[in-house]
Amino acid sequence: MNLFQIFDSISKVDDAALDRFDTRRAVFGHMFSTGKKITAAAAPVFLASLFNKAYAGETGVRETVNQVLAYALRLERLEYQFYKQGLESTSIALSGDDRAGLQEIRDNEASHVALLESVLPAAQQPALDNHRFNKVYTEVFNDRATFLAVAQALEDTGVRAYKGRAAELLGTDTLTVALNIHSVEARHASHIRRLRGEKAWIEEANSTIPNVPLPAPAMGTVAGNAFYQAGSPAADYPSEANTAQGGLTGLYAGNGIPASRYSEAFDEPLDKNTVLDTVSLLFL
Amino acid sequence: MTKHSLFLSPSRGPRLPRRAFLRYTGATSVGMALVLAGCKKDDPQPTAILNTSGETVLLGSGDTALLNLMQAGKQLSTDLLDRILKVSPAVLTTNELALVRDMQAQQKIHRDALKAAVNSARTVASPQALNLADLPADFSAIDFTQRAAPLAAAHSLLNTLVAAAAGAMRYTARAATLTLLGQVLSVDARHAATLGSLLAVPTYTDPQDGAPDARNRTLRPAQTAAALNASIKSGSRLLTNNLA
Repeated sequence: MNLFQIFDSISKVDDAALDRFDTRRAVFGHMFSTGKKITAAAAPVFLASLFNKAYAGETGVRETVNQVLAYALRLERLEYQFYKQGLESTSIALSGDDRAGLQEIRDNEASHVALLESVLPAAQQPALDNHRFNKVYTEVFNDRATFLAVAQALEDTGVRAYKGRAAELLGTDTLTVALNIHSVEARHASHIRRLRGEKAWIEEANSTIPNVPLPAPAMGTVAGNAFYQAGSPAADYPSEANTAQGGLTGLYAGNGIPASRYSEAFDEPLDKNTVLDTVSLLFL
Repeated sequence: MTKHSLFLSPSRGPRLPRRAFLRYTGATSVGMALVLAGCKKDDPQPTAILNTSGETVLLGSGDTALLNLMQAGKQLSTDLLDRILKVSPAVLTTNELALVRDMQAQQKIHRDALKAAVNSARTVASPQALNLADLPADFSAIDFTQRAAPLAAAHSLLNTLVAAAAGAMRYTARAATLTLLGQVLSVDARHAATLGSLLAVPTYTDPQDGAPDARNRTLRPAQTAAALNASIKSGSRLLTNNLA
């Protein structure tokens, strides 16, 4: 047995992170008990108490967390209102299966709204938006195809929106809650896309969401693929055609995988302003 | 030296002082023995480290460990979907096979991206600290000649990966790691929903979610490793005791 070989091997194993071991272990211990509570039925109560405990005295962090939650609440309310109005409409030709799936999505959105409202102080909650979805997509509540197309735009953008603000929640328990909602939104998107005969995943920045001319007096057109474009800055919020995830440009280049295949394996984050601008195209 | 042990790939990191060495061995596994592969200094074969039970695959620490953990999951999902494509085509429709083929290709891309991320200075503090070997999957409990069982296994694994990513992201230190895991997470959720729809089971949730408010669950990294270990052959299972 060659001892030098062992030392040499060990030196290759790890790095400065070893120095944080004890600290990390302490953090893990804390999280273990937190994790158990998170699965408890009283999630909103838990969240509220968590915020009060974890961020007492850390005004900046708490402020950031609340801003992200307020943003999430605004988008969830929008989605809930959209499905509610759609399901109340008698002029969309929805099948029984369509309706069952959409009702479940609507109820999921209602749960997300209730959860976010329960943890955000009333003063921090965003003003209620006026959701006139039919201003641009005028047939949205009359026509199944238009309704589902707009639903897809909302869900895919919702996924990008949560992802776009994840970094602001880095290291907080709120991140986990946001991610647990975010993945449900991705499942909704998958379902809606397949109802429309689309792939469940986003190939490049391609879109089958219809282009529509803007109503007077505005000029121009709402492009269906607006929902899959890059945000600002594009380096941080690339379009859905991105093939350089994690900055790993060398990974995709030259490996024989088509760009379409590569891009559809990843969803991309989108920044707040672009999300709000994009979503507002649905109800100008 | 068994074949299915973890191989530490050669790297050029600085040597640790002796004290750090002792801390490392102590911290990693009580009663752990280092088994030396009889290779020479310049032998291209990497050196393996096993614990006394021969059951340990090290994941590293920090963001390296989280990326390796998720990569382990991707090795399994790639392998499982590949076996469905190879063994089960007779019991799946053309449409179902096309979906599985797409998902398998995407899972494989995820696997390779996470592997590359372990070697990128953007995502980890010390690139190439520890590369995960190819893990030998154990899917012997799945009857691949049936339609439902393999799809259900894939559905369950993808649900696990969705929950695992949420847990891993909670502990990431670097924003680049967080972003990459997030870019993968929602595509896994799309896959899970797609597989659920093939099985006519709930597509928006994981049967194990437990949350009353339409949220998917979270698995801590140690829970993820334990869940993945059920599908890894004895001798190559993941070490969990330095995970959150």
